[in-house]
Amino acid sequence: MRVGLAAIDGLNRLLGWALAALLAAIAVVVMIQVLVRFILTAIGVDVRASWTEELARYLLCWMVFLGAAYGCRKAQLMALDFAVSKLPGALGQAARYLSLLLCLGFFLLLVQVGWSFVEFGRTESSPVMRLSMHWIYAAIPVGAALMVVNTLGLMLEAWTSRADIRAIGAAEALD
Amino acid sequence: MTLAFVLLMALLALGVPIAFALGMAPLWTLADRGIPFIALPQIIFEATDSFVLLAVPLFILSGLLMQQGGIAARLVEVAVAILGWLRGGLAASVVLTSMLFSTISGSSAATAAAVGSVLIPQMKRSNYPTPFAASTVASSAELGVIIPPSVPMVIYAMLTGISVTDLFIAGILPGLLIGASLILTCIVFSAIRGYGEVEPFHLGPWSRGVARAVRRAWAALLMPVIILGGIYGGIFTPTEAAVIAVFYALFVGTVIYGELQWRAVPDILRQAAVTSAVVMIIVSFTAILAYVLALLRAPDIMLEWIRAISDNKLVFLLLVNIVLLLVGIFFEPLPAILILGPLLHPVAVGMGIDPVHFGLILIVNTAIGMVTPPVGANLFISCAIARISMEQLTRPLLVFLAVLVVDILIITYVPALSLALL
Repeated sequence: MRVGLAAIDGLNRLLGWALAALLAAIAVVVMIQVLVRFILTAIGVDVRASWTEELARYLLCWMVFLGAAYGCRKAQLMALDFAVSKLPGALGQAARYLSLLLCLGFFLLLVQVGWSFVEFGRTESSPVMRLSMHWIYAAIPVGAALMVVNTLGLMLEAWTSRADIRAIGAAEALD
Repeated sequence: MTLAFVLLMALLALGVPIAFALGMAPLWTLADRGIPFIALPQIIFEATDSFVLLAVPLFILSGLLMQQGGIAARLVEVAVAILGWLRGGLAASVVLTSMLFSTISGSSAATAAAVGSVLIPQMKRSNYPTPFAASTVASSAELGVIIPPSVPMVIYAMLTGISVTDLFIAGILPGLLIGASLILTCIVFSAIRGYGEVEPFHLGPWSRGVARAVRRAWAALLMPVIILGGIYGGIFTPTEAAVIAVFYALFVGTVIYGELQWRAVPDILRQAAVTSAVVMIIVSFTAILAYVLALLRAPDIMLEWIRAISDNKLVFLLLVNIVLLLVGIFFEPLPAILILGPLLHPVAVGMGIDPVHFGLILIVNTAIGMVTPPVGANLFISCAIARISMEQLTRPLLVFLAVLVVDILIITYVPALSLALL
């Protein structure tokens, strides 16, 4: 089990780098748009780099789904855990496991319907860059699959360290 | 509609992350209406694929860059130089710093962390009780979402189709009102209780001190001028302003102040990406609930209910104020806005309330929710920095809360405050 957990955390380190790269790319692409609009317009060249807007939006979709999946590993997603954290030990942990199981079911549903949406995207292409839309739609099933992996990782950590599952991630929440 | 809402409440109470609870609760209704689940990824994707929303990660990134690049600390120096000599001046400086920081940061949590970590220890040394210091930070940090730029404003505007720029501009005067009322509260409260220290005031040394602090902080102070001036003057869109803020903060932090290390940047990027994703995933999944609510004509039904209670705009607004204050006890502003915004916005428009003014009421109202115990990011952060418990914080906080409630009533019933600059 420890090997599995180490593998999951290795995957998340990669995911962290991917997220940093995605946000950096978004910033650069939107900045290019601003520069094109202000500098080229100032010197009288009327260009609209409309690919920048499209690319930035698509990068954003990937960032949101991968970032949310990353957050699942340490329970960083916003939740009202006020009631569950006040419950006595066993009952509170059982409630947390139930909520994680419900999430797992939902993520699996998203992987499945998300994949059908990707298949559908093969027949579409983006308006400006003529990119096949399945590259963008894939963010949803890939993100949901990583959410499954990271939710399992959260449970694994609780089992291997014999900790209260509600305590995992509580310290990181204040970062 | 009742079923979807009961399911939503049950899932939320169980501690299911808000984003996923919003996605799961409407599933039953979707199935019942015979809508195939392939609609889910389509709805989620369309909600996420937005140029306006790009402002969210960019403002979160610029806030983090400024916090780590020494900009926040310099703004504190300016505020202390201006107000520090007064009785209660250090507490008033907390409010003023929060106001300055809010003009460059889009979130309250970032404001509380940046201002609190510098000023809470300083207030303790200057004879302020710790709970009072922490509650000053917690309550003034809510200005982060009211004074533009503001992440919840971007999201509300995207959700309801009103202009982000208009909503930003509408936040300026109410933000100044709240700031001024909090500064006054600090001074009066400290004078009554004898908190803090008073320094004799001499115009010469004071103006030299202010000039020195402003000189050290000029690059930080220029930032709001560029961002707000650009948006207000119609030169850039909020998303463009956000990206300019990112590169400006990077330049000031690394080149001018030299406090931001290049090798720290990848980690800041990752942190900003995760923080934004955690916020934005809620936006993506709320779209499913919004779709079902529209399908069930929920806003029309709500409008009928409310009309049955009263046709009066003012009564409706008072109801909204009360409901949002109650909701704010348990919800952070963003989820509250996402769940209630699409439901209440059409009702408000139907009753003839200006949509921008209504948006601002919603933002300010839910921002006060961040200051109501037991749940609120500002409160957690302030308690953590001051090393006190939530119970210790509550008593001094009630004073600030009372002032904020008066402010929200003024903002609600004086539309001109929000709309004058538009």
